[in-house]
Amino acid sequence: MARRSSGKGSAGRILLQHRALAAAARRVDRISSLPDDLLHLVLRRLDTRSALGTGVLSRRWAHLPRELDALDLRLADMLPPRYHRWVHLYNDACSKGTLRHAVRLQIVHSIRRYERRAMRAFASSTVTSFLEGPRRNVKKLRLEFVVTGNTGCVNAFVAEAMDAWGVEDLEVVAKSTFTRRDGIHLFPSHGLCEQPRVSCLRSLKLGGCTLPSLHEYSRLSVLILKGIPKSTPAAAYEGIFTLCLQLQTLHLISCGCCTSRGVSLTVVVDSPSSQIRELVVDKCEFFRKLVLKALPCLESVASIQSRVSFESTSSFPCLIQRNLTMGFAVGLLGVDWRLELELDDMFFDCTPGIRSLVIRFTGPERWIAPSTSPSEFLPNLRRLLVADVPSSWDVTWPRLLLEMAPNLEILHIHIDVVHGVPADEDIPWSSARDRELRPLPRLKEFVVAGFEGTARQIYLVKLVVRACTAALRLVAMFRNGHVRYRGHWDWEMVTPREHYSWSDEQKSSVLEQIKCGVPASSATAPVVQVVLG
Amino acid sequence: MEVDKGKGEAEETRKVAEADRDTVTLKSSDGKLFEVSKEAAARLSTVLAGMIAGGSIDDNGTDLKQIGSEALENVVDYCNKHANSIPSAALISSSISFNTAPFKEPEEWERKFVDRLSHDALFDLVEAANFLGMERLLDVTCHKISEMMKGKSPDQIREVFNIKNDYTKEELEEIRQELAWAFYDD
Repeated sequence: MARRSSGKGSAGRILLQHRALAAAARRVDRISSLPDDLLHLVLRRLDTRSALGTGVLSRRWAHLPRELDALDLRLADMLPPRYHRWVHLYNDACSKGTLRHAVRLQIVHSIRRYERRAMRAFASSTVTSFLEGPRRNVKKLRLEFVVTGNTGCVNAFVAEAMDAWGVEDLEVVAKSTFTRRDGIHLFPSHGLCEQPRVSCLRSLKLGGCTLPSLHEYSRLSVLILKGIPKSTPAAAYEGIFTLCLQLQTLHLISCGCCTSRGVSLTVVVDSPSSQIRELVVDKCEFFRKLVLKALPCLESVASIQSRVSFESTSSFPCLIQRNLTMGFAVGLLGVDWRLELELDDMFFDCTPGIRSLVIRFTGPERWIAPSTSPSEFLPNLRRLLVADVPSSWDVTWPRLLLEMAPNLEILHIHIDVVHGVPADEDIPWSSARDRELRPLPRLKEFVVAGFEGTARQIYLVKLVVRACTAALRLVAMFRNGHVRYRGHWDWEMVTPREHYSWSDEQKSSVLEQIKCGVPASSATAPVVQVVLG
Repeated sequence: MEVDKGKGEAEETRKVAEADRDTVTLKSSDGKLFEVSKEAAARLSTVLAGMIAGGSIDDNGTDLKQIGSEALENVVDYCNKHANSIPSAALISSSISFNTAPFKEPEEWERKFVDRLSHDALFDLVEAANFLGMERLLDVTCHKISEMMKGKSPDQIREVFNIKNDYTKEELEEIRQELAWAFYDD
């Protein structure tokens, strides 16, 4: 017996009639007659919860969720709207400082209760849907949850997915409960699964977990570790390099390595048989440093707010791309703005094959001091980006790099106008500045974003342009503009659609000064484009 | 003799001109003819590419008996629009599969292209794209269908697509149990 809502008046009936007519107009169920492979193309575009849910539509759909080849299971899907309202309330009140301590504790308590309850649901429905459910052929599995007492099922699930399903691509992300930072998910001591040697695992990403033993996964080629606890010994990290010899990509993000007293440790990478091609060390502030001794296949390396050094006697013949992002912003800000990074500390002599180089300044290490023995360290460098240079700092220092890179083709410089130090004090660079640059016979493109037309900026542009020859095609200076990164080693300069409105006087003065250094056009060398925007 | 020779030459030139033609003609199930850029057809459809390479394209209109004129018009329209659109930037050459979008999102014009279609025309186009092996167009149309399902309850989805629920009460209970992950609600 259907209950009728008493509030439904004539408007509701008209709507129903309308819907019935519309439905009659297309009575055919077109979607259910599509072949399975097309329905899977549709389901793959839905979140896992919605895709699983289509199983109840009709018998036609019942088997489709069992065939999903990717599952993305997040605790967030289990958290009710009330949870999010509490979190919002808490954050809002904290930012305004209007909450009494006792009330704040009470809210945190409720929020954590929601998390625990959702985690129980996560555990029980994981068991009924997947551990006790039909055997699946899932290739990609992602689990994201909060560390509570209920996470034992995660380990059982991971083992099942790897041993029985043959998962190739696994991501396990453990988070701390609300406002805490210390939640770490523990894997069993014997490892992730029962039969690592026959595992299909190719890609593994772990977040907020202990580091399991990985050397038996003979197909593992991509490993991304995030938030591995500080208590992890240096040998565990070193073992990844020396024991997981099939790895090609390794990212260490916010990982730590300290003694029990909190003294950070050095990790030494010495693996002459390693196949690692890509190494990213990102915000690993709790590594004292990572010393690279031997990684013969290394092609790309990025050190982002982390200390990575190359052993001076070693060589990295395959290394062609490098990203060097400096900045240990926390706590150091304002302590020593003139912190110098010796050119020698950039280890260019170990990496002469570099073709593409990104240098970013996001912290106090904004300075590069000349090396004691300048030489042609970067003979193969083709693309150079120097980014986030504070506007008050002497922008002419990249000449140091230009001196070392006679074959440069593309030079991009980005001056950070927004986040730069207030320009109450212009900070000069001590190196000799009246000397001309060595010729840059292959330089094609020179772009400066964040160009304000200061004397020093014009000086730099003139200096570079004078060193150019017939290869030069474009010199562009944009007041507004920024860098868009495509991964760690590739980028493009984004220039605004609408140009800055320079006054006629400024414009002609800047252009005149620069154009006089531009190589003359001839039959073989087309006209050089000079843009001020 | 001379006349014949001239004729032969003219024939030859005509053939060359046809081989060089930059469009192909397609014929729908109801006999309507459509011209489409040869380059775009070969690039976007594996089936048409095979036919062009194999020389089985008919100048008077290649028969596509499975495709109605409305759907074929949309296919042709899509190919021609694609031929004129600027290819988007190359994908990021990162070796990491996690956290990158597994599908290339439809471009703005592709979205608009499928948004204007009626319910039936959309499904006709999916079927045509499937028949012609047009991977990109399948991506775009399936994306649209998934958008029509997003954020909807099973009842709402049944209504949108006119799906008849043929489960018995017991069967439904059983499948909901199996799919517990999707049906947890606080």
